[in-house]
Amino acid sequence: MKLARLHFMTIAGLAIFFVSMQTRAQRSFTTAYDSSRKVTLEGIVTKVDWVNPRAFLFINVKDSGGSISNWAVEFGNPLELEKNGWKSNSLKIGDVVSVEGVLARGEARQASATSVVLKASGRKIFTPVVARRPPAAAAPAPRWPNGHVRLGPPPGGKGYWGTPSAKVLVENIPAKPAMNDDGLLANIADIDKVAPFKPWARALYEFRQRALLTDDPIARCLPPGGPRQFQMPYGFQFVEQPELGRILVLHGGGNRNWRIISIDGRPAVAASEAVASYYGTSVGKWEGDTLVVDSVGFNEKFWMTAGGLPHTEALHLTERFSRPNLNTLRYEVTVDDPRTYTRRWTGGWTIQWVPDEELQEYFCEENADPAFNR
Amino acid sequence: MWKRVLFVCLAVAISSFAQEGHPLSGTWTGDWGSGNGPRNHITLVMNWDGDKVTGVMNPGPDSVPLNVFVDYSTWTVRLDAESKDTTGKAVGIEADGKLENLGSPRRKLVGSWRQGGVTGDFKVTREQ
Repeated sequence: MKLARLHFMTIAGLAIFFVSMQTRAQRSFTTAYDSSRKVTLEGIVTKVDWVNPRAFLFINVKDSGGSISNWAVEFGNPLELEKNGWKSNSLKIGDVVSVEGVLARGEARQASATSVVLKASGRKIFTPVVARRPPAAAAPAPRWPNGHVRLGPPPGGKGYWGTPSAKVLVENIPAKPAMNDDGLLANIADIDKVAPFKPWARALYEFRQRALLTDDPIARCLPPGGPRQFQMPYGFQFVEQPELGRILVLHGGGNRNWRIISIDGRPAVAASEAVASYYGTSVGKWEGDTLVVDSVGFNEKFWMTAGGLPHTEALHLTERFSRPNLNTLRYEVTVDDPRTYTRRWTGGWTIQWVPDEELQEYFCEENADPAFNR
Repeated sequence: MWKRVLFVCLAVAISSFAQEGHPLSGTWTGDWGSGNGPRNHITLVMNWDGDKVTGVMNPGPDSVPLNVFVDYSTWTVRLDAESKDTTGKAVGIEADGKLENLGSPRRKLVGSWRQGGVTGDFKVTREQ
């Protein structure tokens, strides 16, 4: 009986955890904030939440009638802030601050700060004060003794891949549609420039765009399957294990997930034999200095890029990774999903090497979004 | 009692996993009925094959194949099928519905249902 109760508590706890994942969601800026609603707040700091990936301060703000309300103010990413010399105690409880920013969508008392100023000294805080580390010196791509390009750090070094040149996957065409980093089109009429949609997929993509990407599974902390894994904040890293015939992709974003690419010469897997998953079943091979990876077996629980591109379990990705020099990774992906798109299409971007640093710890579930939860 | 609580917790937890592919693909359960009359349980299983949505109503020995037509400009859905009554006589089914909460894992299909000479309403929710 005790065991049964323990079992019950465990499962119930897990259920509550999953529910809380939904409410403590990681929302895109577009979904969370309305850039057209500027706000200036002055108040007393009551709490500082130094939580990755977004730090919040809470302030008591008095309105013209004398009533006090507590506001949540998002002001940056703690990892980035710390790189710039700021600490969680850079601001003290009781400090009076003036905040300029934009309001959250809806009625929540929440803002995203563009400026935080200490009233007592007039000092701007949480702004970049240290120059960012310059990119690594130009150098050829490191290589393994067998001549293959190394996708990870040079021997004895460290680093990872971060800062993608594009945060949204769209088809490689000369006139790419304008969109923000969340994948929201500047002009909804540009939908047909994004990808060659079948009618249902076009309609669903348009629905997601018009809903400001509110239903993005990333907001429920689900993994960034498909090409999106190479567009997430906090980067990724390759761990090459030639003796095991595989390459691991470790994700700094996306809940520190990993993905396995088999490079032991096995044949590509038939989609019908693969267990559907977020990252699919991947088999790779080197073609000269390019790693070509064939993946099938994707589930339908994720958006394969910001912006809401749909796919089905028929999705087949061919990814090409090359490293023309130490600092640059070229990523190209061909999307083949005949149930969703009228033809195969290709997109791609480059990713910059972040030298001498390791991937930082990041767990989506830990990300409090306080104003949306009160 | 705790079994009931457990069931509710699990049901809610499971519902948090989305299906982001074709919005009609999957299993839908609910009922149809007319006015204050009895409600009739229905299960619809639909699948997008790349060209059309195929489907079946009430899978099992008494299953009925569904013809499914979707207007993607309005997310309205027309279903038609031919069932049999208890005497084995053919009974036509026609339903017109609209997808609600399209972005939700537990989206709904709601509308009118005509079966034989009876006209009513129906509501099914996508299960995952």
